[in-house]
Amino acid sequence: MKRVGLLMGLRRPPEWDGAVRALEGFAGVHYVTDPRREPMDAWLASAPDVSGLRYARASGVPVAVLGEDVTFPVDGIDASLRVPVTPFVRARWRRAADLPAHLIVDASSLAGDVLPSALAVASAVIVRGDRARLLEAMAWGAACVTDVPTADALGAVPGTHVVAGSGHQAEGLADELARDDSRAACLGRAARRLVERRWDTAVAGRAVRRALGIRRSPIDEALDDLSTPAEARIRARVQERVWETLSCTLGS
Amino acid sequence: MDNLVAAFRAAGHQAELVHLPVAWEPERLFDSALAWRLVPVDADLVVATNFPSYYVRHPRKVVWLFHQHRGAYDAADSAWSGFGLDEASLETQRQIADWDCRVLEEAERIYATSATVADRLLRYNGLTATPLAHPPPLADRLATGPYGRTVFSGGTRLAANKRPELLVEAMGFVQAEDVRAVAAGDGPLRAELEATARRAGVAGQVDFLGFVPDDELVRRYAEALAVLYAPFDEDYGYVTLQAFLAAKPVITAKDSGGVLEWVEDGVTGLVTDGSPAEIGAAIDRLAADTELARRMGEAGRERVAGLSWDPVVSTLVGGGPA
Repeated sequence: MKRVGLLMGLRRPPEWDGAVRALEGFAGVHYVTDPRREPMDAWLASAPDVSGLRYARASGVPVAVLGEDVTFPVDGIDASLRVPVTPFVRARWRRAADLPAHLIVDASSLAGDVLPSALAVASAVIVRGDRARLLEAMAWGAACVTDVPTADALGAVPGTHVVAGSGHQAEGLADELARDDSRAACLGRAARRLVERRWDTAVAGRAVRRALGIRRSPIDEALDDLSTPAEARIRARVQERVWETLSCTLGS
Repeated sequence: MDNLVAAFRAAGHQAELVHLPVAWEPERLFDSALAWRLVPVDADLVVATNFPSYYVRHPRKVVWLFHQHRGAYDAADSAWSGFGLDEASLETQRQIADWDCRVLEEAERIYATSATVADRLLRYNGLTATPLAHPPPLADRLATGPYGRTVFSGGTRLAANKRPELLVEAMGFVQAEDVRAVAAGDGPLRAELEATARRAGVAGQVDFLGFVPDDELVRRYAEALAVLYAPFDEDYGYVTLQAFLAAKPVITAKDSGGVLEWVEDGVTGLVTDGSPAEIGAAIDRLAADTELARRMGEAGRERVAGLSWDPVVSTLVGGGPA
């Protein structure tokens, strides 16, 4: 396992802990004050002005500076725990669960424990003034109606990632959106991509690891690039094939 | 695809067709898709057409979409799809849709073989494709002939989605005594269709030819009165274009998908409600008025006159309006 040296100055940036957690399980992490005395396989620095960075760069191993070489979202979400669901598949999930064919969910009025399920099957979602719930809905690939300030808080563009609407207007807009699979599919897909690009701690974590030269097998990386859930059957099939091949090779 | 490769080569490009095997059982569906992600393709440009080949990774990937895995999408409820409403099926469908979105987004441009296929891509995946039509097989050989007394099905597979039973059942409603139905092609439904013809008392008016060589296919188009092609929600429909190249009108149904992008009711053919009775009436109408058949067939030929591989190649290679 690679040894990653952590260079952190007096100030701890808010995204630092998340970036370090992204290395857990993939590398051994070590807080280091003097890189001259402790050679490492890679270095992660919390800021460009942190002490020891010059020596780390001179060491010839990968070095990444948070905020410069890699970014990690503050107030992000682990999108790998929320799977994007297209309108067509949502309709089948609703059919399987005997839910109404046309289902609009107001995220503001739902209890936290039922929120994920509701966001995964809804034809359209209304989010009123709640950044966290909009982020959650977008991570599920839901087609959302929300107010402009909440959209702005996530960098969501009305017409591209969400439909802008508030107050009583929101219900009518959500109804229209729920009846337009093409539009819902476009918005839901774009919304999920925005989450992955700007707010996804899982994607950011992979970028941090790549910057530090910590790579998985080509097959695992290919599956990660496709946002394949950890428990997806294809991952297990790959492992089974690898073991079969190893067994045949070792057996022969 | 061989015609596409030939067209690239005729235009002076070096082109190779790359195949990987694919397993269609839901349990193994992702195996080939993943394999495509790992295959290195040494080329200046890659054109991908079908699931799972569009999973290929390349900095210059152009998708010309013929088929997604329809069993996971619009044909999910059909008997052959392998997908139900169980948890495993639903998760597989979810993952295919998500994977399809991601790999198709990688393309520098996305085209579709028809507006029907483009519409499905938009509805199911939220992605836009530009329709790009191409000539059917035998385009350079098809020619018109006399408007005879046969209604031809084209060389289509005798499978459920093509609805070959409509030709047989419609003959039970045809009043014109000298009209015959001719079905070329083979498939899992052949024995059942022959039995249906016997039960309906029309076995003497329906010819099942099986697979026929190209020469005979060309001849059958040339001597037909009309072509009946009424599949369910067809992607594109080579039979339609082959009929038009032979200047024959096409009888079809209102739910035949891509066929309706070419067949205009009363202009290039007749669009029915898909019932054997209405199809039979359409056959009778043309049998009684061969001049109408000729006019509509000629209009169909004009409709496809511009189809050529040259603009397909230049669009795929260089972009620009399709």
